[in-house]
Amino acid sequence: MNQESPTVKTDEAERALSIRHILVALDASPHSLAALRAAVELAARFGAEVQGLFVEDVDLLQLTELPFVCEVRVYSATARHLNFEELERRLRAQAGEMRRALQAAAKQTQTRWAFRVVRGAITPELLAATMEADLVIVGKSGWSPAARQRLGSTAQALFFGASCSTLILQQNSHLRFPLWLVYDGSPLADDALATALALTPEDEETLTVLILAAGPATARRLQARVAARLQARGLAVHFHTLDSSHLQEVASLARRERCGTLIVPASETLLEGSTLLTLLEELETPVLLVR
Amino acid sequence: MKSIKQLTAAELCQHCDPEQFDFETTEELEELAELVGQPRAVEALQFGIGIQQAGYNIFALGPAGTGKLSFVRQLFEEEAKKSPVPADWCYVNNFEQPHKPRALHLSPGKGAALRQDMKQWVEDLRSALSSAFESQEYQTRRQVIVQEFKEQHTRAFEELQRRVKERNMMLLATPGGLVLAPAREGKVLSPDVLQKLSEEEQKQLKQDLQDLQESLQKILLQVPGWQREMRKRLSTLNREIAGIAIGGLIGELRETYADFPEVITYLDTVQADVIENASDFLDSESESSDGDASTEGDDLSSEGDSPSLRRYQVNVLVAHNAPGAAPVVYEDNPTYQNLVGRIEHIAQMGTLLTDFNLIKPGALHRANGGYLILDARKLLLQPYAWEGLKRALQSSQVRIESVAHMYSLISTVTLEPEPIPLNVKVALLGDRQLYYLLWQLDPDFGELFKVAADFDERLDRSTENQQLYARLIGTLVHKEKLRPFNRTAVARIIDHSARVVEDVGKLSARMGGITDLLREADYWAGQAGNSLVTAGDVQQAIDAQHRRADRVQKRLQEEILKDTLLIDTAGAQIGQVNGLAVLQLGNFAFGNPTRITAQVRLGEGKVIDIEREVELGGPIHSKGVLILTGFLGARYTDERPLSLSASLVFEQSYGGVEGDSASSAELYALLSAIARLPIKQSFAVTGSVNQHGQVQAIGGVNEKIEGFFDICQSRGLTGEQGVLIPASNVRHLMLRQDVVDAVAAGKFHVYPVETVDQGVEILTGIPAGTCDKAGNYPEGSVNFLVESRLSELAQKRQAFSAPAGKEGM
Repeated sequence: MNQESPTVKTDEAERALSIRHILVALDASPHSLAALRAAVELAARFGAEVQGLFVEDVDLLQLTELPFVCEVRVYSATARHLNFEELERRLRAQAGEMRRALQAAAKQTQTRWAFRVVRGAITPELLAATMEADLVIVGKSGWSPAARQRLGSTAQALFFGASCSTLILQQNSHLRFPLWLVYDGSPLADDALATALALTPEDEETLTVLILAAGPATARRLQARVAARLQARGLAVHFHTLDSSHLQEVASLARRERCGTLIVPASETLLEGSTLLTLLEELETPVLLVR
Repeated sequence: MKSIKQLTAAELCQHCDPEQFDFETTEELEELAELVGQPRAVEALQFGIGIQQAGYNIFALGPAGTGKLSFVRQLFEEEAKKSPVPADWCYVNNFEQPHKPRALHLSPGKGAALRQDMKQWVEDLRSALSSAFESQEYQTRRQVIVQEFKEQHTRAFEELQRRVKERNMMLLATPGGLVLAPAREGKVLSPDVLQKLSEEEQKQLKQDLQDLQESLQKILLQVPGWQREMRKRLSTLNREIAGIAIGGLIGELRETYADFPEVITYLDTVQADVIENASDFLDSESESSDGDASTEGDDLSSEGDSPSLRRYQVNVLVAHNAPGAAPVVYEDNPTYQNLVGRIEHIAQMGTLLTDFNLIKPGALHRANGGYLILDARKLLLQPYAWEGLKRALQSSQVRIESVAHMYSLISTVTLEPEPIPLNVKVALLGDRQLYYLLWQLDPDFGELFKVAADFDERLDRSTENQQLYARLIGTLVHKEKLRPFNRTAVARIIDHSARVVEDVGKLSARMGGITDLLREADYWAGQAGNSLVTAGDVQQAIDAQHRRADRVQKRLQEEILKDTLLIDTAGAQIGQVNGLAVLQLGNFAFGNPTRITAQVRLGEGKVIDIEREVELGGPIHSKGVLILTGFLGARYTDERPLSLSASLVFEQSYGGVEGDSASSAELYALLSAIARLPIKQSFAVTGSVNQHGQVQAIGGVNEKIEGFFDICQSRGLTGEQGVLIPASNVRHLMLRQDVVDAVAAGKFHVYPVETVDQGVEILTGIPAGTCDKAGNYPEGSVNFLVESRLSELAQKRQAFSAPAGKEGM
C-alpha cells in the first residue's frame, strides 16, 4: 500500500491487498479496544498478522521520581503519591489485559497475532513500529478525560507521521460501509481507490466518491477516470464534487448522508494546513488515511 | 275354603298390543323432547331452575341410565336461551401489585375486542413511541442535554488545561487516574532539573501543583452530579415525549370503552406505566431491530413479545358472543383445577415463572351467569374438587388458588388473581345413595343443594305412556341412527321394559338398558338383512343377551338333570318341597329350584334353621323361620306347649341364603313332616308367610317360575307340574312365551296362593280344613292331622316329664 505507483493497471487491487502486518496501538482505553476489534477483523479478511503494541509510558514512570507529584483517582477524586512499583504493576496489568483481549479476539477468527510491550515514549515508539507495518490502527484518543471526543495527541502524530496507512476509530465503532473516498487525482488517490475496492465486500453495492478538484473541468476529468476504473466492478457510484478548498464540507455531507468509513489519500496537499485535522475531529466515522 | 284357580295364559304375560299404535314404523313418529313419566323430577327441576335464591342448586338423583344428564341439560339449554348473555371476564396486569392481577368485566363480545384493541394499541404504541423518539425534535432536545453535559465536562477540563499550561504543568493519564506534573517544553521535568531549581521556585511549583490538584479534584467530584442531572433531565424529556406520543392513542381507547369505568381506570394505569417505562420500550425496540430479541427477550414470551410488552396484554378468561344464550357447561372431568381454573407456569432457567397471561379459566368461569352440570361421583373422587366447588358457591366468587401452594407442596412465584363474582346454577347428577350420604355426612350439602330432583326408574304403563314410550323409542332410534323399528318390535320392547321392572303396570325408565337393546336388535336385523327391525329381531337380541350370560344357569340345570343336585319333579315326599331361589350375577338374574326338607321329633318347641346355625343364612331368612314357629304355636298349640323339635335345611346349598321368599315353602315342608303327609314334588313353591299364615309377595317371580319350568321341560312336561306363587305377585308376571304356551296347552300350571291353607291343599291334595266354632278341624284335613300330631307330641312330652317330677317331690 505504501508503494508509489503512477501507472495503475488491472492488478491494482492485488497490490492494495498486500496488507500483511497490521499494527494496533493498545492502551486499554475504550477507543483502543475498538481499534483492536477492527484490526482482527481486517486481518482475518486479508490473512494478515496482527501486532499489538503496548507502550509503558516512561514519562509516567519518571513522574514517580518527582517528590511532590500526586495522582488523582478519576472516580473517587482522592489524591495520593505515585509510587514507581505500583505504577509499573498497574501498567503491566493493563498490558496483560490487552494481551488477553487480543488473544481472545484472534482465537475467534483464527488470526496470527503477536503482542509486544515496550517501555519508552509513546509516540516515538509507535512511529518506529509503523516502519514494519502495512497498516496501523489506533483509537481516536487515549485515557485523558479532558479530550474524550477530540483527536488525541498520539493519534494525531500517527496520522501525520506514520510510515504506513493509518486507520483511526473511536469507541464502539468499526469499519462500516458504504465507503466514502476522497479523490483528488493524485497517484495516492488511485491507491486509495484500489484500497476502497479491495475493502468493499461482495454484497455491498454502493461507493461514494468525493471528487476534489480546482475547477469543473478537472472535476469532470477526474470523475470520468474514476468511473472508468469502477466499470468492471458493477458498483453503484455516487459522485460528489467539491472544490479543493472546501474539504471541511465533507463533515456536514457525511452527517446528512450515510457514510460508513471515510478513505483519504495522504497526498501532500491534503495533509497541509489544519483542514483535515478539523475534519477528523468533527467526524464520528472511522477514517482511513492511505499511504 | 274356596279352591284355587290356576292362572290363565293371558294372566301370565300382558302383552302390549301392537294394534294400539297407529304407526307402521318408528320413522313416522314425532321426536320426543320431554321426559316421559317423571313428573316429580320435572317439577323439581323446573322449580330449581326458576328459583333464583342462593343455595337452590339441584341434585338430580336416580339410577344410572334414567336420562338425568340429557334431561337436565335440555332444560338448562331451554332456560339459557331465555337468559341474558353474561359478561365477558378478562384478567389484566395490576401495575401496582403485579402478583395480584385485576379482573375486568365487559359486556359480551367486548372482552375479545379489548384484547384486540390493546394488541393493536401496543403495536401502534411501538411505532408511535419510536417515531416520537426518533423525531428531530426529540433527538435535538436530547442532543442538547447530552451536549450540555459534555460541554460542561469539557469546559471544566479545558479551563483546567489552560491553567495547567499557564503554570508550565502537564496533565497526564495513568491507569485509573490523572497526574499533574511540572513540565518544560511539553516534556515532564526530570528529577535532576527539579533538583536544580531554587528553593523558592520549588516552593512555588509545589504550591501551583497543589492548587491545580485541588481544582482537578473539584471537577472530578462534580462529574457524578452532572451525570445525575443529565439523566434526570433526559428522563423528564422522555416522559414528556412519551406522554405526547401516547396521549392521542389512549384517547381513542377511552372513547371506545367509556361505558366501562373499570376499563377506563385500567387505561389510566396503563398510560402512567407506559410513560414511566418509555425507555424499556425503546430498548426492546432496538433489540428487535438488531435481530437478537428472540434470544434475549425469550422469557415468558409465547408470541415473541418482550416481557415489557406482555404486561399490556389482556387475558380474556371468558368470552361470549353478544347475540347468544347463557352458557350451559358440562364438565366431564371435574378436577379442582378444571373447576376453579389454574395458574400455569413457564420453566425458565430452571425456575418456574408466571404472570396474569397464564391464568386459565375453569368450568365455574365458563358457566358463570349460566348453568353447570357435574357428575357427583366424579366430583367427589377428585381431591379438593368438592371443597373447591362448595367454597365457590358459598362465597359466590371464584378465587383461583393452586392446591400445591395451599398445602406448601411447592413454593414458586405465583399469583393471587382478583376473585370473580359467581352466579351459577349447579346441577349435580348422582345415585340416590350418594345423595343421602352427602346429606348425612356433609353439613354444607343441604345448604347448597336445596333442590332434589328424584328420577324414578319406573313409570306407569298407561295407554298414554305407552304411546309416549313408543315415541321415545323412535327418538332413540333416530338419535342412534338405527334401522326403523316396526310397531311389533316396539310392542316387544315395551313388554321387555315391563319385564325388566317386574311389573305389568310399569315400564322401565332406565333408557340406557333399553337403548342397548335397540342397538342389539338393529344389529340382528342387519345380520338377517332386514331393513326394518321386527319383533323377531328384538326377541333375538333378548335371547342373545340371555345366552351370553347364562353359563352358570345352564351348569346348574345340567347338574339337576344329572341328579347331582337332587330335585324331584314327580312323585310325593314327606317333609320335602321344591323351593325357588334367584341368583343375581352381574346384571343377569335367573331362578333355580332348591330342595327344602324338614324333620320333626319330640322336643321343646324349637324350629332349628340349620342355615342359621352354620351362619349361612342371613338375618331376614332367620326372621322368616322364626315367624314359622310363631305361626305353628298360635294356630295349633295355643293352650299347650309346642312340644316338637324341628330342623329345616336348604339341601345342597353351599353358599349363603338370604331373604324370606322361601318361608312358605319351609312351612309346607314342616306341616308335611308334622302331619306325615307327602307333598307332590311336581310343584315348586315361592312366597313368604306371616304369623297368620298369609302368603306375601316376593321378588324375581318371573325368573323363579321360568327356572322350575326349564327343569320340568328338560325332563318332559307331565301336565302335573306347576308353581305356587303369592297371589299379590300376579301383577308382576311377564313370563317367557314358551311358559305361557305350555300353560295355555295345560302342560304347566301357575297357582296364585293367598294363604298357607290354599297352598297346602294343592301340594298335598287333601283339604286344609277350617276350624269350627269349638276350635276343632274336620277330621282328615291337613290341619286336623297337624294338630293331632302336635297334641300327641305334647302328651308324650308331659309323659316324659311327669314321672321325673313325681320322683323329685
